[in-house]
Amino acid sequence: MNQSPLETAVVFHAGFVPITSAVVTTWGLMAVLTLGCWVATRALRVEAGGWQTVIETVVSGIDEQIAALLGRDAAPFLPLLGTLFIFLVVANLSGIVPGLKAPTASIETPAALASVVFLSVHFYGVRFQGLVPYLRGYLKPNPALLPLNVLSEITRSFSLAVRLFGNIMSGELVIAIVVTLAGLLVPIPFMALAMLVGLVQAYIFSVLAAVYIGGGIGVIAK
Amino acid sequence: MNFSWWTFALQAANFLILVWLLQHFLFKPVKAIVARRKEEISRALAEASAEKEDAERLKRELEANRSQIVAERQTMLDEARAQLSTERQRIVEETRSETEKIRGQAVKRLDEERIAAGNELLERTIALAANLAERLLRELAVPSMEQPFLGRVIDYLDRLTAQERATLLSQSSAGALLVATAHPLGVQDQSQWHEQLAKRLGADFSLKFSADPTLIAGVEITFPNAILRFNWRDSLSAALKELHANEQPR
Repeated sequence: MNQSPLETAVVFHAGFVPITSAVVTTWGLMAVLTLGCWVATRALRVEAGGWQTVIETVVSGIDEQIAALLGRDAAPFLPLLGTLFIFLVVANLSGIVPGLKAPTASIETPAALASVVFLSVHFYGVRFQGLVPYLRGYLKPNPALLPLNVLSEITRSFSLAVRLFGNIMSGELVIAIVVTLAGLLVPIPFMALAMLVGLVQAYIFSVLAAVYIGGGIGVIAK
Repeated sequence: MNFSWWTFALQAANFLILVWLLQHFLFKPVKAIVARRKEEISRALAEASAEKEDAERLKRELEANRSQIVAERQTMLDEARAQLSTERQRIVEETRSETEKIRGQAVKRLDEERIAAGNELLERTIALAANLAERLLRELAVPSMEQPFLGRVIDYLDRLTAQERATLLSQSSAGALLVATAHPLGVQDQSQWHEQLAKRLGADFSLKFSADPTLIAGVEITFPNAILRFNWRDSLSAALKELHANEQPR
């Protein structure tokens, strides 16, 4: 291991823009997901077959989970939260593939996702409550708490990113260390544990995002 | 640890693009097909509900029709039973009447046959009795028995009035009186007959005697306007008439 796990390797430069391995892996995952979804949904039928049933179960499960968390119709939030969960699952598990590093093991990716969630909270909050009522929410329960509320918005997004990054990065680091020290088969339990952690972290990130958005639209207490 | 803002921006952009891609290729189609399925299920449920309502309506109509049919059937059965009862009563009455009529006719015919048989038997008995009496009288009859009949004739003439005698002889002068006896009379007997009749009827007539065995015994005198019969054949005829006269009212 010649490179720090906290750093992301630059694969190439597009002009003056450095393209890191996380971005390339993300493009690959995007391509796989898009192609897979296109193939899977190009011939959907009312009488669902095997794969269609699986896909419908996944989408319906996410939809129902969001609806249960927000206590309302999940349709406006499904694209963001559903994509977030699916991408996180695929991205977290991509680290299992030999030669690939999970994009979420690079701090930029969780930070970008947390930033999207941060902005989405305000977007949905303003959209569903209106600008003034939404901003007035930061003055509750007491206007004196405005700085703390603003700080809370920032820190929870930061913790969201760092939690995901830390868990995924640490899992990959442990596997790399064990592979280096113990050989080929010993890391398998750690890899299974990393898969479990990846799934759990995807779920946690998505649920917390949903909770934050719910707080933004006023259906969940901040 | 370096933080690449380019990577941060690219990953944010990548994620937003992925949101659009999955919305376009995954969520929208799946939600659409699920919604379509729910719609079809709802439509199928609505159709099933409508068909169920139709079926229940048809069932109610069928039950109503069945009840009506049962009631009509019962009514028809009652009417048929009533008609059968009436018809049976009528047939029984007709049969009884016909039987009584036939029985009456049979009884009447039996009575008539019995009466006819009785009458026939009586006729035959009478005929047999008459035949026996005639045979017996013929065996008893002898020529000497003509004489007592002369006494009866004389006695009869004696009891007649003069006018009645005149009526008997009103045209006697134009011819003779015919005296028929069962047995031929001798000359002496003829004279005696002529003498006795002349005393009662006068002398202005002649007598012509003849024999008629069918008289059995006795005499038959033929006047112009009357016939005096004093013989057993006439007595037997009178007896037979009397018997027949007594038999007719039965």
